[in-house]
Amino acid sequence: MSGARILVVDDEPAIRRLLQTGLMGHGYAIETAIDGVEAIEKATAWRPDVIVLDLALPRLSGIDVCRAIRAWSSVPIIVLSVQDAEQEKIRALDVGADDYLTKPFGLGELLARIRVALRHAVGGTQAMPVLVFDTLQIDLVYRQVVCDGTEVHLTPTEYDLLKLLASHAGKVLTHAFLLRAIWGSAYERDTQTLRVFIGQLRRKLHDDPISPRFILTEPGVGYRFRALV
Amino acid sequence: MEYRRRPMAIQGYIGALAAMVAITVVMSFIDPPLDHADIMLLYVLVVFVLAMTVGLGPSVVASVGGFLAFNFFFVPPLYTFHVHRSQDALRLLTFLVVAVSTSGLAARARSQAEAVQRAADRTQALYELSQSISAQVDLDRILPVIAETTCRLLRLPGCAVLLYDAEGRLYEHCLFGHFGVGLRTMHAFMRDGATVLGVLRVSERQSGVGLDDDEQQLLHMLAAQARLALDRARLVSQAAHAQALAESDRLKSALISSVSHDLRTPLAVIKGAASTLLVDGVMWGEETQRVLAQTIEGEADHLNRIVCNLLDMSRIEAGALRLEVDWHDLAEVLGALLRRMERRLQTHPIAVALPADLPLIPANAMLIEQVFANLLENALMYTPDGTPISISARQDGAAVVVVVADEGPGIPAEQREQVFTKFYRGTTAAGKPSGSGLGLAICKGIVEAHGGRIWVEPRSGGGVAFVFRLPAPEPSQEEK
Repeated sequence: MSGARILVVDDEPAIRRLLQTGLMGHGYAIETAIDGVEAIEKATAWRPDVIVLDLALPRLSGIDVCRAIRAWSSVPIIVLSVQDAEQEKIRALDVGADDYLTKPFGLGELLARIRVALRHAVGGTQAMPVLVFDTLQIDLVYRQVVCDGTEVHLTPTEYDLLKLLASHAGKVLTHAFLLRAIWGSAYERDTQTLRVFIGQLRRKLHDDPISPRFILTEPGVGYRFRALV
Repeated sequence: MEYRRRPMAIQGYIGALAAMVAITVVMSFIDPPLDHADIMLLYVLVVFVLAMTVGLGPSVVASVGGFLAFNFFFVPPLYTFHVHRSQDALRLLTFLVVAVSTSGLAARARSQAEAVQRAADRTQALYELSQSISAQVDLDRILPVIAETTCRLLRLPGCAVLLYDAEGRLYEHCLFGHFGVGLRTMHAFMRDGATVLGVLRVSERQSGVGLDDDEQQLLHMLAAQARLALDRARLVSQAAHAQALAESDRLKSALISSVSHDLRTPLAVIKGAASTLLVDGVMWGEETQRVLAQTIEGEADHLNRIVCNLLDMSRIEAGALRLEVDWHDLAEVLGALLRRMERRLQTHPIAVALPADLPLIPANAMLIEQVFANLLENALMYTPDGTPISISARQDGAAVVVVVADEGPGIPAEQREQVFTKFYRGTTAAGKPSGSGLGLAICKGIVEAHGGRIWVEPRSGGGVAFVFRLPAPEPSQEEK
């Protein structure tokens, strides 16, 4: 969606310059902010369509910025983090971020995430009655799933899980988010159960975890349904 | 010179008197009556024997007894204590002086012989003690031996070794025997110049009976032995500490030189490629620009891997591998990694064989992913393009065994242990950059932190198989 407005928040000038150049080259309108306070100001004043937010910010932390913006806006937020900060990423996602990227990343990855975020912004896939991913069709009206030409029989829980993942195709969903949504907040920490159901779903969809077609594992964080390109 | 204080042995005195009575009776019945000189000599003989066998007191009593008996029974007028002739008086006096002197001399000679023997015994005992503990460095073994030896040599009921703890408080390190109620305690300090390192505390043998000078000296010698033991233990621990520091220094130097070399190389390439693109006055064709840009990207990934390795290594070294463990499916972990490395793995065909019923393992997903990543990086570096890499796993009792194998040049038998040491580098396949030497050391650190083991096996048909084994216990009912 060219012309969409993206707010880039990072305290490193080199990163801001790089992202600005790269994203503008793909037709997006870019504004930058150097810290959390400026980020909130510009988010309020400029009303971006997507926010790319570095978690390691001076003054106000990225997580606090996320929380603050989420209080009044559901604008998609993609957070940037480093490899070993799993807990930080999960917290950001729990606090309302939509997806994350691990530094160092390529521009292509960022563009893909932005596309997904824009697609899922309010008024996105919700309207579609049938979700199609390659040879997988999910009919949300009749609760029917067809994979590789044959109908797949899923238990109600498995169906709910698949529907949730597919509705957010391309976006990462944390373990806690999935467990809360399907089993309730009492089961928020029961990653064992989630893993078992994901395993069952994969088997029924003939989805090899080594080279998955549909359900991707985000180690330590959660799961992501492969996006339609 | 003091004589050893001996408890009053009534038996000695009774024996002495009995002996004098006996000899007097014997001499009275000898017919013809003995010469005064003979009688005197016989009495002196008895006194001498008593002095040598029983002690000073009884022999002096015997001397006086003999003097009186001689006077009463043998010196006219008989059966009185009067003496008529002056030469008899002189004879009696002489006898007394000689008898008492003999007692004194004989008793002293005996005492001295005993003292020498005791000193020799003690020296022997101390020598044996120092021999037996000189090989030991462990205070928990040495100090009890010293306490026991102290009790044994000094014949005391109890001995305790007291030391100062880290806060400077005195505590009892070990105790031999017991400290009875009503018995006083005596102390010998283990000194290092003016500083007191500890105390040797002993209980008196009997209420009110202390130690004589010899015994005091022995007690201090034992305390000195204990002090030597403390010194030795301290020096050994200092030496170990110094060695650990030296090793840590060696690693730091190796790390610095590794960082310097390994980081600079990709940086140099990046700088080179970028500055080439920026050269004034040259218009690079699209293909050239593409190649240079790809080079920069590839080297940036390389740098990232090196930084990750260094971070992992430093965390393993610091013992700070936070093991947030959860039950994981190896297929999931491997799948995510293969996706991440997709582009890099295009140069080699990868074959994966993981059975569908492989049990879940308690592990930290990121760290196990790192193990796979490092093993795959190794395979990429050390085997020519196009050679296959295979990853397989199987269950083995309550464990999972994973094999990452390649068909490269392999690792010679004598280096199979060494490859897991830090900064060990092999020779990479032609045209490929070398690694940092940390990858396998990190794998080892991670696998062992999970309670597993990693090793190298030769592969029939050439190449290597890296094998690691991770425990996969049955999850408890509540975890299921």
